[in-house]
Amino acid sequence: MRFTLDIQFFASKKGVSSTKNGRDSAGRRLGAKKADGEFTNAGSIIYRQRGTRIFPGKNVKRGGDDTLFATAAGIVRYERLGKDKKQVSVYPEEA
Amino acid sequence: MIRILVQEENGKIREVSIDGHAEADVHGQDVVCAAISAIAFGLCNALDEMTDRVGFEVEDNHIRIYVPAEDETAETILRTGLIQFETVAEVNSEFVQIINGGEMQ
Repeated sequence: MRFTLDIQFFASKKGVSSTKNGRDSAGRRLGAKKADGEFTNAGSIIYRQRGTRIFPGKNVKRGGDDTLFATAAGIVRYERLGKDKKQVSVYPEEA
Repeated sequence: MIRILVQEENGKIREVSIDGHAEADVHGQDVVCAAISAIAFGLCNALDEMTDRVGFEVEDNHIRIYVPAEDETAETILRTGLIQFETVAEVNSEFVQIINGGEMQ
């Protein structure tokens, strides 16, 4: 998945309709970047989202655009949170 | 005016945000906007392809790239992008402004 270039992305839009595919392509870029059971390094992006569909669990932080990233290296686990919510945690591997 | 804000931490780029309109010409013929747009989207794709440690925000006339944890690959790609932006801004200072936001607090 790549960002689709909008060659006039930073042009003024006054009175002219424009295909804002630069933004739409961002929409297709969301979702899981690390699967359950996959190893991740600290700082790696785990899940890109708009709003909080998945909540940050252990060793996971939420970035400004709700992206979830690992704060420690380890194994990614998607878990239930309460009745109807989900969270993602990272469990460091035992030495 | 397109404003490109660059913020660093320990001498590494941690965030680049690009906002505004070039207004060098009407939509569809704005070559300054085209130059900045091409560099910005190329930068996002290069970062996305070559490292998994970068976050993006892409909305109307706004792109924000942030690096949650230090990463050499991201640093190299971001420095390259910054030099490309500077190359355009040098000869289009009335349409593009690069602001070094200094060390992040």
